[in-house]
Amino acid sequence: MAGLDLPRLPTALLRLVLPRTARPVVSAELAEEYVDQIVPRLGPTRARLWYWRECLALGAAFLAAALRRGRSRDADVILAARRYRRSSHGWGESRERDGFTTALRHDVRHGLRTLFKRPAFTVAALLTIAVGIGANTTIYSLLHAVLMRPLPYAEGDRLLFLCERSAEYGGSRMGISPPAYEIWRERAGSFENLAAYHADDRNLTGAGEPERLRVARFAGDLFGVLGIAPACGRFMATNDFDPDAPAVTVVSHSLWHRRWGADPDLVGRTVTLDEERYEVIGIAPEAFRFPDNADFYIPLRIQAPEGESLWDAHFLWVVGRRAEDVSLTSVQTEMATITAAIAAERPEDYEGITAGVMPLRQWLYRDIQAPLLIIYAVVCLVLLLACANTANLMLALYSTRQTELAVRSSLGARRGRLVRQLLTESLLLALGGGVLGYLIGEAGRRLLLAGVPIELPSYLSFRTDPGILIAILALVVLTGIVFGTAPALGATRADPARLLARGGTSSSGRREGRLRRTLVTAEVTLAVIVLATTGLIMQGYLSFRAIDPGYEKENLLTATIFLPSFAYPTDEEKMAFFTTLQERLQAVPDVISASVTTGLPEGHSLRGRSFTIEGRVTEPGEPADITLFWMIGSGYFRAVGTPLLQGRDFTAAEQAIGSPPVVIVNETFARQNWPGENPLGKRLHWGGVEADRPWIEVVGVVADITGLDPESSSEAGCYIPTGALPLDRMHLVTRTGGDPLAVVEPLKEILGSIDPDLPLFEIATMEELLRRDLWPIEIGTWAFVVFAAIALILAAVGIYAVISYTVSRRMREMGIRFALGAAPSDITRLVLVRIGRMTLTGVLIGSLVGIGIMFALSSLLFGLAQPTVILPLGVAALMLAIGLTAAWLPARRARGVNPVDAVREE
Amino acid sequence: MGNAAPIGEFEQLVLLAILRLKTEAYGVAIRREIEECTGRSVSRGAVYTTLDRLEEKGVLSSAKADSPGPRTGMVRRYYAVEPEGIEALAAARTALQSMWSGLEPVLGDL
Repeated sequence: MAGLDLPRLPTALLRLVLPRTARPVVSAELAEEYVDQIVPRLGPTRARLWYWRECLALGAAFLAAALRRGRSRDADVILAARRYRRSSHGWGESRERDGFTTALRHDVRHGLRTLFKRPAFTVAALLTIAVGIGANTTIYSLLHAVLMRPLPYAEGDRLLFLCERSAEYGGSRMGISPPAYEIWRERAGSFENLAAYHADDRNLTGAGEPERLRVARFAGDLFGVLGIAPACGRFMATNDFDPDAPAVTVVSHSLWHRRWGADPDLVGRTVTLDEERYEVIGIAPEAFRFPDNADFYIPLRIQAPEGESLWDAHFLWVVGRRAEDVSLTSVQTEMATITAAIAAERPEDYEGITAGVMPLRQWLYRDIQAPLLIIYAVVCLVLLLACANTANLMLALYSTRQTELAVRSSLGARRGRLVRQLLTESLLLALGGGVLGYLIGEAGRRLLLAGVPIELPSYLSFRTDPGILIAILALVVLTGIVFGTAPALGATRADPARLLARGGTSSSGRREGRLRRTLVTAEVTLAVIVLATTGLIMQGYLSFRAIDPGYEKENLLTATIFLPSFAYPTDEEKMAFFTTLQERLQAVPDVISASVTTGLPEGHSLRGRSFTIEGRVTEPGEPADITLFWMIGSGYFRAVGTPLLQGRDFTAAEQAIGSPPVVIVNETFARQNWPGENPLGKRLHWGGVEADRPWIEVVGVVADITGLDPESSSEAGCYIPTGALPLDRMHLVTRTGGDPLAVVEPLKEILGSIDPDLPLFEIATMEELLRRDLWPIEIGTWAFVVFAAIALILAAVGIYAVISYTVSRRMREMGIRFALGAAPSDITRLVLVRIGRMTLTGVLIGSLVGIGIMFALSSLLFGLAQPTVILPLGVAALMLAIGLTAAWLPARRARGVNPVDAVREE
Repeated sequence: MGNAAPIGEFEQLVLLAILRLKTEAYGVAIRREIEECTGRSVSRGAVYTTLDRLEEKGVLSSAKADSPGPRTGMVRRYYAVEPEGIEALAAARTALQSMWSGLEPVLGDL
């Protein structure tokens, strides 16, 4: 069947089940039909489904046939007895002669038969395990990609990320300045190689539609540090960094494919980035886009403008490859020493600045590591819950098999042998559940990743490799042992003679009861912990959803335009461009309002500016007040949907260059600077008190735009007309009546008719922009909710199963109680009190642990709500309610016991 | 009834399908034949396991052969009914016929 494209997993599963004689023919005939008839008739997708179904059905049929055939020799006891009679020396020798593999095969066969005979039990146990393993697999595969898979660079564990930390900004990371980088490079001896880089965006023009693309500028041997080789052409040589060397660039593999159709002749040609021409000298290897999904790599030639220093230009990030015999700690020590020396030499620039050194992996995954670990901890709890549940099911199963176990034991089977037999069954269940769970997990991972709205970094890879499979297999085996051991030990502990004498129907006594109660309590505890954690995260999420951002995010299209200074050298030209664009856009049907701004409502490119209000008196040396400020075109507030609280919007005349300056302030600005006064007509000027600047009159007050970031608070801000200082980079905001994306094509046409060389980039609806920022929160929250729901269902099912089982085992006791005059309500109370006690214990332990976890989490996770007492109380109440509800049905059944029947039955 | 082992209804269908297909009786064709003649759907697993069982009982024989298609490595197993199979079928038919005889008036009413 070589060369046939068959779904591999079902084929393998089928081959596993088919008897050796039937194997080649049955699978060949199936394959033939699949390829010749089904694929042409149903198409590839439905044909795969068909193939899966046929394989599973075939496998089931052959398994069932094998079991039917085995049934005639089914009764193990008879088999054992027969073998015992045959062997003159009794059990011992016969068992040794069997050997381990025979015994194992026998155990497996017997186990399969036992499981097939109890389909309800088997399905319940398989599903429980599958859910636990599935949730675990999903998160583990992500965790593996982030924590364990080596970076796709040669000896990635030796790569370090270096930056500076500033005491002034609370130790936050910042880039290193070029002169300091030079000193690092000269003095540091711990590295084989160092490189500095900085990524920004440039316009690619020339053949085809203009595009805004990420360009990495770097100094040093970046490619050498990372240990990669070009796919085509060459990388930069030392002389390419000379100030007067010709401009060269390396293109990313993906852009080369997308834009030039992998044309090998691209090497040697020139491309135009922001009107500068670069010769393409090489193509980066496939999937390499470090840093920040870069598409072009160009040498960074640092030259300070005349009379200026680069000491305060902190814009370079550094990667280094540490020498083989140097540890991370000694690198950190060395860099600390060097940076301290710089600070001593140049205190005016480097006061309070230290070096930050960490493994590159840690830097790349800094945002997702902690949340992922927390979610993984939660899915491990869910798996434990599933184990407890399955253990309970096993206990119930074994207690119905006590006669069998007792007979085997009295025929001479040692306890170890019986435990092994029972553990084999657990492992079979675990393996079956593991296969199902793996499939669930794969689907879950795809679902999760499908929800990620951004391009994932090139170094992140989620393929399934043997490492993951081995880890999952280990987990599955561990799962089987965890849920199988206690029940197996418990079930084989009973004294066979007593059991057989009593007809094998007795409950196995106190010890098993205690085990069962412990399991239920553990389940409740685990569920409460998961619920409390989820509750905290949900609470944070909901309060976050309830934030009023101060603008309307629906039906708002955003895009960015960059006017290169060579094409638009003067303010008049820039202004004319934006005015024309805005006017034409306004004329498009369905556009309610279109405008421009220097900073989107959720944007991070905020600018601060010092100002002085009229009449302010300051002490000498007191720093000037700083405000955020934005330049906006006319109709901006209507476009973003922010209400004007007082005064008016800018007039068209005020938007023009050279008109008398006016300003609109936000609520916070007005409150801070003119508390209790009417801000309209008040005046301010830019700069400090001494600055001789024209006065600017306040003409309006608008509501604060706080944005959705839970950490942001209202800050004072000013809006001024675009004409006051036209910038080259502006964001376009367009409010539409219907789908904002429908305006994209007209917008591009208008732009093309004004200036065909200008790319329109970062086109997205406001909601899409928010999703890109907030997807970890959204996806994380929903993952928690799903896992919490699973935990809740598992716990409820566990309680129900145990109570229901206990009630059915104690019918006789109930019957006697009734006969002795107990009222039905007494019986209900008896059952409910018992379950109440178990649930309450679990809730108490779980709440205590949960509260601890909540406090730990709220300090660990950014932007989480403060834990409150209400939450654990609510969770406890919910759990108690669920426990009692789950116990209610069995309790009612206990009420309806007819004493005569109950006693007679036993 | 001779020496033939008694055979069930589905086993009869399989044997009859093989006889009808003559030299073209392999798994997929047998299943199709039964489905077409009886108008009911038959599971692949049932056909294969029944073929196995019948062969074990000795009423069928089989031989592997390459599929006539253009692909290499595709095998089919072709089945033929042994004299014991014919005997078993005949016995089954006789049994049924004798059960049927005399019931025509009753069944005619139904």
